[in-house]
Amino acid sequence: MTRSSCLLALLCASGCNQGIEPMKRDFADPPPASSVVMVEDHPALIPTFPCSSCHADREPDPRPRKLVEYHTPKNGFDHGTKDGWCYRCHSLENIDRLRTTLGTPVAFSDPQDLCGSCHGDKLIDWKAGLHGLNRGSWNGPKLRQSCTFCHDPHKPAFEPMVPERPPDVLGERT
Amino acid sequence: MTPEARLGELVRLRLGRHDTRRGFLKTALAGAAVASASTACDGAGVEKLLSKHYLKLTDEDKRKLFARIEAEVLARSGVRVTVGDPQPMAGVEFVHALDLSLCNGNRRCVEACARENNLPDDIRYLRVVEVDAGTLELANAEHAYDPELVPRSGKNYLPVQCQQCKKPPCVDACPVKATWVEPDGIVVVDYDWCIGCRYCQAACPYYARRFNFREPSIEPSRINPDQAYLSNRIRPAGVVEKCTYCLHRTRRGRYPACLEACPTGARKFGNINDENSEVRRMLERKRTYVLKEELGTVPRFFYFFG
Repeated sequence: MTRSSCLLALLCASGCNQGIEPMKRDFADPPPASSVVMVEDHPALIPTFPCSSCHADREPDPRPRKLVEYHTPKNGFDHGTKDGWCYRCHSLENIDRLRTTLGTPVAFSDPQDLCGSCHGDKLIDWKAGLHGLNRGSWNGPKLRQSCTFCHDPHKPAFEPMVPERPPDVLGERT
Repeated sequence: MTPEARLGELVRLRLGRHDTRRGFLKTALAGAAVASASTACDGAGVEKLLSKHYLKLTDEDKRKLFARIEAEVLARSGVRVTVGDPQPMAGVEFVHALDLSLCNGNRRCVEACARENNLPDDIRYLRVVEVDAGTLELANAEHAYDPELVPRSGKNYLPVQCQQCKKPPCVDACPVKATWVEPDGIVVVDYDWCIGCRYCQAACPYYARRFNFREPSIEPSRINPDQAYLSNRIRPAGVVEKCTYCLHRTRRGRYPACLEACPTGARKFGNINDENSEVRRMLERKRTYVLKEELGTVPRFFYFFG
């Protein structure tokens, strides 16, 4: 017996080259439809919420001016044009409501209707599950979070983040 | 750096000692001889040597095999793990999509993947590369970007991982059929069948496969006990591994770990055959890109600008 045939016999014996044919597989049950979506409730963004706790007895003052107490958003204000003012998005008639660009009242719990009145493309994507975090299950109930979960409505752009450590690329690239 | 010097540096890093190429080979061969002699002596080693390919395993074989792996991990690290074997679901083909306009290069996905899949510190399945804004130019991409804050202005970030190709060159390259495409589109590796030749690694145009140069050391407190035979069980040294779309999660209806970790919500995942899935809607509505389309690998990973 030659050396190579010895080796071949050894390989056969140890099963190394046994033919691997695709076998009949037992599949798991098919998934249910993936259309069930719930929008998650979220807590108040500021401690003084609801606004009516202070504003119930006050006449609203629609004049743009500098606010020093209570209203100063944590991260400052940077949203849209610089002349933005509370009543562009908050309702003058009912301080516990928001308003779309057309003046339709919107509940604080549904900020997407307000945001979507300018960012319509994002609203369409969000409704389709293409914008925003996906939680839950890809084939079961999904939990969708509204705009203000991730975006500060007064400063919606994401803050820069500290990145995780870089990979060890030594020896992997020349 | 000369190839000789680079190899020396690698040996020093990976094996923890200075050595020449000749010395390295000598040690490696001697080590292999000793290892094979010792494995041949103990029972589990023989069992391992004569074990079958995953696709040939009966339920009884699987039960024994998984119990053995669980016992080995318990003995080695004191952690009680469960090795499962979730099967592909009928009519499901997984697709992953990534919104490049949202990715800011924070690498949370990379680390979440590492924890989920029991990766040692020197292996990461995902790599986020930094490219000039307006290009997807991989040749000039920065892999080890490390600014204090991301994103840097004028840069875009492109996470790359296994693309779970429909025509995977890695599978064609494997001489022992240790890697194959599952019915739900996930390319898996039978770590016990892999001979460590790394042909697949060379064949992959996406740099998606990683090789275990040494026995993976993972802090016991960081071991994820929810494991599957074809995905995140702790791999032995000398085999190739890769992203499996977290099949131990996704075949049970969950999202992959990288998706859940992404703070900007850039990742989408689902069944392309389900017309209500996010990925199906993405394909219907968005202009999508695949990496290196010209190679004809037909990836199941899509990039889009939301």
